Amino acid sequence: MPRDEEIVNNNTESEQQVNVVQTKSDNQKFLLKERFEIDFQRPLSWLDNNGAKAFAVTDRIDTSRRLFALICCSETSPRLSILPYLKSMENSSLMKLVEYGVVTFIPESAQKLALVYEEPLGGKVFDNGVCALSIKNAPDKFRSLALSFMGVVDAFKSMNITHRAIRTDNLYFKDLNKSEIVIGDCAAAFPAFFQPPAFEAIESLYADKIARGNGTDKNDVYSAAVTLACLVLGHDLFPNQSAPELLRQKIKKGSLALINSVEKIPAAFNNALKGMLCDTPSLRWNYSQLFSFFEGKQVSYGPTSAFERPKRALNINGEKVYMPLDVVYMLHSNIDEAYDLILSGKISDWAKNGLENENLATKIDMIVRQEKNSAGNKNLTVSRVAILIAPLLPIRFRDMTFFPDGIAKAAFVALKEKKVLKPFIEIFDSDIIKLWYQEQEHLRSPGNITEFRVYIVRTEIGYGIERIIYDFDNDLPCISPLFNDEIVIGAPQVLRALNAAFKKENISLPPYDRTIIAFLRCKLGKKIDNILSDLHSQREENRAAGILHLYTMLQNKFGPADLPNLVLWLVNFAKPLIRIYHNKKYQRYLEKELLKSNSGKLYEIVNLLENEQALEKDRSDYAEVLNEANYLSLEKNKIENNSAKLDEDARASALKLVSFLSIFVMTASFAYNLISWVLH
Amino acid sequence: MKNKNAKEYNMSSKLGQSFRKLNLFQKSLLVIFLILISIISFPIVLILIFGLLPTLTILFIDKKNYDKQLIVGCFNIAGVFFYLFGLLNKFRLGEQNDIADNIFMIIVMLGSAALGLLLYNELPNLYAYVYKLFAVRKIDKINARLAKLKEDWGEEIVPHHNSAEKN
Repeated sequence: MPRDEEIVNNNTESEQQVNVVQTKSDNQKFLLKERFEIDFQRPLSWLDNNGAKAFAVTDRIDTSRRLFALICCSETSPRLSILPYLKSMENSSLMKLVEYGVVTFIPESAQKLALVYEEPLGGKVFDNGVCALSIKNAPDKFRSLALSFMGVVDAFKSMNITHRAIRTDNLYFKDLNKSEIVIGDCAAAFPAFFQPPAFEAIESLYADKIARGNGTDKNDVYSAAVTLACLVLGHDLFPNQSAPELLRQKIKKGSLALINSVEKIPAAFNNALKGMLCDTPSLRWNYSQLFSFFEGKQVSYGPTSAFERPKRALNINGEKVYMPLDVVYMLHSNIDEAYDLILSGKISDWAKNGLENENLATKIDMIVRQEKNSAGNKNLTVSRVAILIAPLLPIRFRDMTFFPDGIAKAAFVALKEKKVLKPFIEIFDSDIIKLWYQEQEHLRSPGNITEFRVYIVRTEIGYGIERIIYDFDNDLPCISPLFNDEIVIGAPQVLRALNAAFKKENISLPPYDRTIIAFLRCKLGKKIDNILSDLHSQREENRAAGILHLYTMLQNKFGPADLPNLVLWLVNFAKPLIRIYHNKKYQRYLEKELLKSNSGKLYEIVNLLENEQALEKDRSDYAEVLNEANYLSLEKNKIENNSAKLDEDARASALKLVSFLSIFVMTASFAYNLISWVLH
Repeated sequence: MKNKNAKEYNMSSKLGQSFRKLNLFQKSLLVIFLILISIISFPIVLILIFGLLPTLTILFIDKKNYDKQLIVGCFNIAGVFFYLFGLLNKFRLGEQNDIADNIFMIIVMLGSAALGLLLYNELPNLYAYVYKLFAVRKIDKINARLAKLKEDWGEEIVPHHNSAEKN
């Protein structure tokens, strides 16, 4: 699993490649990247694969080229992270991915991912389960096919990816002469989601098909081996058997023995298939071992059965079980009894005496001790012990069986279908995924696995299960309900999808949700952490500023230049941001100006709302006005509350005045009369 | 105010005590002197008693209201002065009859006292009314300014710590 930064870089590159520059053409045609014209009126149903529908494509530059497009289904999701690798891959035994991009699937008026492949001219190798090619008597052809299939597996391995869709109905004749066989698409759906049970190894078959995960090259080797066996026998294997039934038989007999029990594979091919179908993944052959074998060199085989029978049995639910796989199955089927058995130490005894594995017994004892010291969770305890007993198997918790690299996809589907997410939260809040990786010999735990608990505990936007899904799995598109039918496979598509999906009745909703923010955090990395803290704020204006900055940054970086609907949406959402200005007149001015902004450019809104000079002036004016208002209020209070005293004071002053006046009048009268008397 | 009254009461009681300390001869001599003075300046005494009647009345009926005594007294004396100085030039017995006959002079003396009383009663009311009028106008001006500030800067600009809290 690449590191966070690498993921972001890879995604950015792939997203730039995905750069959807399509033009809706007339009728039922869609032009992808101004070159590939997908004609939805010309379905090629024989090429439908992995849940995707096939349609004819015309290359406008090279019209003689025969191409077709697979329109990915919405049941799962395309494997986005492997698309750039597939496009760059040149392998004569692999169907060539020419281009990919988001298109408007006109029959359903929905946005879908289209994968444009070179059309195989010779048709399908298997038609209705019957092979059009006979190699039973052609060991050379077998050898050539085996090496070409293993070459494809090896090419995928060299890029640290897997195919997970090698099966009979995904084989095509490349040319009209039917001399070359190519393996078809592997990116239109979740890995191994459409694989029939016969083509999956025991450990993969044990998992829910939605959560089989990317697996390893060993899974591809197994599928290639079963495909070769089908080619040799000339028909499909176990087409009507259910997965649990086939799983039980594979565990019981071993994969090759099971095939041979149905129809004997000629000895000329049996040894090669024996190496490739080994039920112990680490001992399964790779390309060089197969090549050595064909060169006549001595190559060792793994055991024919997955597990050797232990000496002692374990009694669960009245049944005696010997094999670790059976024990694990029975433990999960009887959780209460399994929990009691674990706590009583019987499982530990069986590991010590039956499996003769002291190390395993010690680990189980440790779990028992931890469990006794804390109020435990039965399901978790049983899952932990099951991981220790059979580390190759997927994790089983409650009703789910999953490989850790498939859990994000299962959670994605649950989120998309609005199912209960509690089991996923319990899983991510526990240490079982970490424990599973610790028990693997050839797999390394992803670096971000320790952060799952932190993400789950934090309830803020940008964290939670959505964050884990996108942090753990780069294949998954963003599935926000705000996008409607728009497909968003990377950060550059977010704004475009929001702009396209905007409806006037949604204007009161925020133009973001938990899924979008978690998706963007995973795609853009730590640089938007400060925006996340704005979005966590209780203040509306902080949230508005946060989302405005985030979307402006996206538009500046990825475009598109014109987002009229999103601008309208953000103008409405950014209204609280106007309140950072105190002056009402200026607020009204901003409102008017915002309503006028129809250029579709988000930075204009930011510039208008966050004008430094205007903000500074507003702040200083506000401080002055606040002082004035305080002074006036105090004056008013003083007058109103002291009216009685003022009245008294006024009267006292008036009396003083009259007193002075009377004395003056008396003195004046005296002086006047005295002067008059003297003059007389 | 109480202290002042008490002081004056003490003074009058001291005067009374002093008067009582005098012997009979001294008392008789004093009374004779006063009667003699009164007879000699009878017109003036008569004018004073008649002219200062309003002040004397207030001195008797509203003993503790010194403001009223002062104001009415001063205005009354101012009115009395007009006639009192005129009397000095033609001082003779029987002149008082002219005074009683001169209705204009009575109006001047008593009218001045009435003016003093009017001012005492009404000027504080008028003054308080004008003062209140100014206060109301000032509040109106403040309210108008605050309303303008509210309009320009929002309701929160005006603090709410005033009369509402008191009420």
